[in-house]
Amino acid sequence: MDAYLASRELAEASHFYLNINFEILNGCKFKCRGCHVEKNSQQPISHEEFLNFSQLMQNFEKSLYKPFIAFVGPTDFLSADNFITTFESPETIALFHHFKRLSLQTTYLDVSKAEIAAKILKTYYSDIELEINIVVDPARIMDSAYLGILEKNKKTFMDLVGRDDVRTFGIMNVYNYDQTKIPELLRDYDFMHQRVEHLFETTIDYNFSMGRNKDLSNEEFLDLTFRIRDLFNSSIVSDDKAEYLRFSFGKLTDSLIERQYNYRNGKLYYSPLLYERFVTFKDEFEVPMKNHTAREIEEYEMKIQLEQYEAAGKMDECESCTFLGSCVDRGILFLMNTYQTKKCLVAKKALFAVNSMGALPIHDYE
Amino acid sequence: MPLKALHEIPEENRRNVGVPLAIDQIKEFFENKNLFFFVDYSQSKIKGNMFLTYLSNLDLPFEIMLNGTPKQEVFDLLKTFMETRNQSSSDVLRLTVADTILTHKGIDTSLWLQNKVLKTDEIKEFIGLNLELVKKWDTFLSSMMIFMLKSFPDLEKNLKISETFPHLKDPNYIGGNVVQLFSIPGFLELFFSVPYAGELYYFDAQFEELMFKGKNLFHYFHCDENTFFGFINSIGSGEMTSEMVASFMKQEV
Repeated sequence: MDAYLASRELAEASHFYLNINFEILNGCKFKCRGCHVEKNSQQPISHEEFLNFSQLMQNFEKSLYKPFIAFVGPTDFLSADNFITTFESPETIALFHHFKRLSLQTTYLDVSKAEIAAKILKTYYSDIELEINIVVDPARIMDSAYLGILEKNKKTFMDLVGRDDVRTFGIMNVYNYDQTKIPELLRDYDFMHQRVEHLFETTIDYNFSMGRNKDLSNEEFLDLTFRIRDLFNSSIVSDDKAEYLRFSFGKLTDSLIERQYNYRNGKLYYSPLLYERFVTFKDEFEVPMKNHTAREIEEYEMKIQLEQYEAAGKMDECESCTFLGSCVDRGILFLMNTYQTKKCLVAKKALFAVNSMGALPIHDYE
Repeated sequence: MPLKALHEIPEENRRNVGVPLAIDQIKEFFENKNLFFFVDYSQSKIKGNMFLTYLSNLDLPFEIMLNGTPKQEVFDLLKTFMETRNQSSSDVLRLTVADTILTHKGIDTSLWLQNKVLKTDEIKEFIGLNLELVKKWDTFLSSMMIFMLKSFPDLEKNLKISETFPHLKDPNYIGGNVVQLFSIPGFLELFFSVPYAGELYYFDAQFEELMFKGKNLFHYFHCDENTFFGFINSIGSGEMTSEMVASFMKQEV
């Protein structure tokens, strides 16, 4: 798995890794709980934007960045009404070929367009790595018929794609699980994992789609964030488990070299890494780009980094926290500032376990 | 970790920097892993624990430069180094802490340590200002004798050393950098050359758990530089007989 991931320590690295989430698909027919995509508000990449973005990518590549993963989400690509036009577009094909891997996501609830989608992927994208991730509704993990459909449709699509190197990760949207019929079960990471582990190759990734919601209040943000924090903290109770859990917040020293951004409607947005990439299109997250150079983005990153170190002293526990550097690199303090909280957002107990710092399972060192 | 041989670093690989590092400095390291960063504390925009955490997370070859840093800032950084659970690989700081601990025990370190960051008077001033902290380090390091003895399974089995002394269960009793002192040549010999008059403790968390950057205490204690433990280990394992010890003690230089 390690070779599959970009994460590594600076001492081993020879470049930065660049991950960009492209929000360019429209017309999802589903209404997944916890998903806040504006279904028809993504504009296609115009010719001018393509030229600008191509220039930016070339400049990144010359500046010791490796474009690593192009994510396309959160819209279900098998359901999107512009998947074919977008993915057959020579400009899109050229753009995604800057990257090592293309990562798509689907609910696998409708595979009526699977044949054409698979054909496009085979025709134009067979020379880059492919990830097809499954969005699973946590509220339905006890619904065997639902899980059966996902399994069957996944097989159908994978057979059509015909590649044995395609990886699959499991995604669950974060929302108020207390509003489901199984709130207690959804506090038990182990149980959830066991219910769905046959569908994908790793454990569950939690997707904070609520950042897309323009009306998200600070209180709602905190409630949902703490929900996942507590779930990780109470579930990762041993070093053994920390080893097998996919816990993207991960190691202390691997965060500096990965850079994450979100692209939508011609603009690039900063993307904190709160377990997974945090997507929001608030103005304060927009990365200023006039000349489409890596330098502009680096200056923005440096500014964000310093602002976070300056803010650390005002937070409840950041200034003396072992994980401060990692959180700054992942933009966590930026998120804390944005949503006006001084409280730690991350699953610190779980982090101690992942980093084998002796904090678990015997004592609570917080 | 052995002390760094700073004098062996070629001029062309030395970089004088402040932190946070500029992205161009990180990129230069991408392309040249032989670079060594001399981090000027006075020129750094982040200070104290954040400074140490930043360097610890970067995990680059570095040494901290304290020339030009006001005494109070050096004191603050030293205190942070002694308190934090993070580990820092700064030789400048660990040698200064070692100097502090030995000075507190009344040992003259002037021949042992050259090019000190703090003069002896300043060390004494630091001790006066942070007496409780220094005493904790003294207690913990003195209690390493218990750790050492209980590390011999036969001794532990027969003498039940871990049950003989009062237990301290506080995982935050001592900062993580205490383990950095074991690999300073001669430190433990000098430290144990002066008797300790206080209470010794069995530190449950520190002695038994992976408290130190995912490693246990023994990982750091059992190092090439710790000849003190090597000596005790040889006796404990029977590799060195009592006759050999007696003969050794009679040797003259």
